[in-house]
Formats: sequence, structure tokens, C-alpha cells
Amino acid sequence: MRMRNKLTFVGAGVCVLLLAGCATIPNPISQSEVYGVENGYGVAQSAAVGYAALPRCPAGQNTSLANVCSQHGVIVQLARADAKARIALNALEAFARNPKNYPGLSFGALLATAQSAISTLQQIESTNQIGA
Amino acid sequence: MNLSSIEDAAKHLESSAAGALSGLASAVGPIDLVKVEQLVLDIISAAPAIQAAEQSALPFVMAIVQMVQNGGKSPSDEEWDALAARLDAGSSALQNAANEPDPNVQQVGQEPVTEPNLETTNEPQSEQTNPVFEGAQ
Repeated sequence: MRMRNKLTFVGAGVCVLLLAGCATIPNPISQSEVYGVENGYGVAQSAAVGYAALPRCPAGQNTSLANVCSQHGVIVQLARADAKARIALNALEAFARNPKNYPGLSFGALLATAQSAISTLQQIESTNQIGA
Repeated sequence: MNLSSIEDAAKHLESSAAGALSGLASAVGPIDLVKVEQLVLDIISAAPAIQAAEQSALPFVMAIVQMVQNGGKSPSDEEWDALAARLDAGSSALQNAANEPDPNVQQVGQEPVTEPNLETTNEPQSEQTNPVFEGAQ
């Protein structure tokens, strides 16, 4: 009987440990990596802000070396891309800092969304030779 | 290295540079000084914006450098807050610039806009979103 009690006790302990293990969400990325990603995005964002600070191009003229200016339509695109990227990065940061708060979220999906949003902004910059 | 060898090297560089310049000139043809001057003026006028972009990018770069120097240690709350503040400032600047009216559209559409036209539309929402085009129609 004692042996049975012992086994029950040990079994209960193992169950508790297993449950505790399940409750701990493994963090597949370090906070410093997300911090690096966000700072890297900040560099790209700075180029966009610098572009927006240029005088607007006259109608029918594009940005060139001989005509350093910005186009309103491109700024609107950059602002939209930035807004999306910030939402994605904020979610990624929140997850990286406190993964236990988001047990239902997939880190891979968050990272993919953030990367996609960042590359959208970079694509707009590349197309319009911003920060080149 | 003695003085004569330095002089020889300088002469060699000078002749090389002169050769390169004459080659460039013959390749591009006669240089339009007016265009060059305008180009320089344009670049100078854009310099403050470019400089501002570089200055605003610098803290992000420095943060990455510092993170590497710290051996990848998790950032403190203050560092996270500072990063968020910098990104928020950039986002605000972009949103504000995007919300500014397009000067080219204004020039085309401003004249036809008159108050009676706006009143007869009787659609406050469309007036707010694009009064210029409402009036133009």
C-alpha cells in the first residue's frame, strides 16, 4: 500500500512537471535579435523620412540626381507600408518580450508577417531609389 | 622613401589624373557648366534632408553596435522605450507628410472649387475626403 502511495505521489509529481513544461512557451528568438531587427527597420524608416522631407517634385517630374525631390504618391505608399510594418514589429516585439502572454500565437507567422511588411517598405524605397 | 621618389610619385599621379580627366571629357563631350552648376545647387538644397536622414538613422545603427558589443544581452526597458520613441517619431513624420495635400493636385483643382458647389453636394463625408475633386466635378 505504501508502495502504491509512493507511485501515486511520484506520478502526480511527474504530471505537474509535464504540465509546467507545457505551460512554458519556448522562445525561439532572443529579445536582442528582435531589437536588432527593429533597429534595422529604423534605418530603412529614416531613409523614408528623409525622402519625405525633400521638396515635392513639380508635376510630371520624377526624382533624379539633377532634380532632388519627393513625390507625394510615393510618400503615401511609404507611410502605409510603415504603418503595417510597425504593427507587425510591435507584435513581434511583444511576443519576444513576453511569449507567455501569447500562448496561441505562432512565432514563425509573426516573424514572416514582419519580414513581409519590412520588405514592402524596402521595395518601395528600392523602386524609387530612396536611400540608395 | 626619399624626396625625389615622392615627387616622382606625385608627378605620376598628376599625369594619371590628367589622363583620366581628359579621357572622361572626351567620353562625355563638352561639359555644360550651367547644368553642372544646377546639379550642384540641387544637391546642396537637398543636403539638409539627406543630413537629417543620416542623423535620424545614426541612433538605430549605434543601438545595433551597442547590442553587439554587449554580447547580445537582452535590451533593458529603457532601451526598448527609446527605440519605440524613435520609431514613433519616424512614423509620425511619414504620416504627417502623407496627410499633407499634394501640391500638384491643389494647383490643378483649386480654382474650380467654390462654396456653392460644395454645399450642393450635401455629402459631408465626401467633402472631407476630397473636396478638391468634388468641386472640380
